Amino acid sequence: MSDLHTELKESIIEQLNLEDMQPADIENNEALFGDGLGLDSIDALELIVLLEKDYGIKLTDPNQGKQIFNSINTMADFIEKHRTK
Amino acid sequence: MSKDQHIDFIKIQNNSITAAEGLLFQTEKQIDPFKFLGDAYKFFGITYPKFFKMDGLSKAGLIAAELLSEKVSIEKNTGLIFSNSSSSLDTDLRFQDSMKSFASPSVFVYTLPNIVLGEISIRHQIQSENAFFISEKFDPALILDYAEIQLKNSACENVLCGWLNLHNNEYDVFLWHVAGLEDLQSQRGQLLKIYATTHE
Repeated sequence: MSDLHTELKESIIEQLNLEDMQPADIENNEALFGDGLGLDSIDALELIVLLEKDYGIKLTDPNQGKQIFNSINTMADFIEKHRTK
Repeated sequence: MSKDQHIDFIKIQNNSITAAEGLLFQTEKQIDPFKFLGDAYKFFGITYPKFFKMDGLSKAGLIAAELLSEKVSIEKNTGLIFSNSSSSLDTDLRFQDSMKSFASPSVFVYTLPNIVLGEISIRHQIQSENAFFISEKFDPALILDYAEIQLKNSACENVLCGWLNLHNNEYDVFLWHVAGLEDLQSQRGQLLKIYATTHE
């Protein structure tokens, strides 16, 4: 697991107040929404904020979100390609 | 009706949670309200996936309603009538603070005092009337008068009433149940006394 994957998991746990959850509890390919981690629409907005705040990525197309936020792996891939900080 | 008519209530104040029968939970020293409410949530074994994402007002209201629901029936036709003096100011200030960098969507959704009523309604599958009044101090007549109107109009069958205040790291929660019109009339004149007795 890369540093970015671990960093993302730690940020998500902190940002979304996922109490009692550890980075190791989140699988890289696990669905973040729906049956996986069970995140909701407000969490999605927090993830958009997280991308901009921590990695300088501003999403311009809301339709991208579904693909980007599918899992830790898809988020990490997108960040590695588009990060500005 | 007797002056000593039993009233089921839950009070949360000064690191303790009490009910009509006595102390239910207490921490040894004054701690942050969020830590206290989190500890209480775990102590009572409550399970609600959104709990740690909620604001303090919703956490306090949810815990109090949960404990009260163990003694009285809170169901589809239960009305919710709450009041406080600080509205959602505690969360409003947190949101204002977040705007210095990136405004937080998850804080923003709690910048209304009546969100707690929605959280309690979701938890207990309530589909009845609700209202949240802002008043300078705990005014049981205001709440009971409105509850009486709702009961007489058959808008609900019973009512969960509450004073739910959280601001400046101080919380003052007093929830009680009104079983019906007869129960409501018997409570008039008693609530301030109970509230004052439990707020020493």
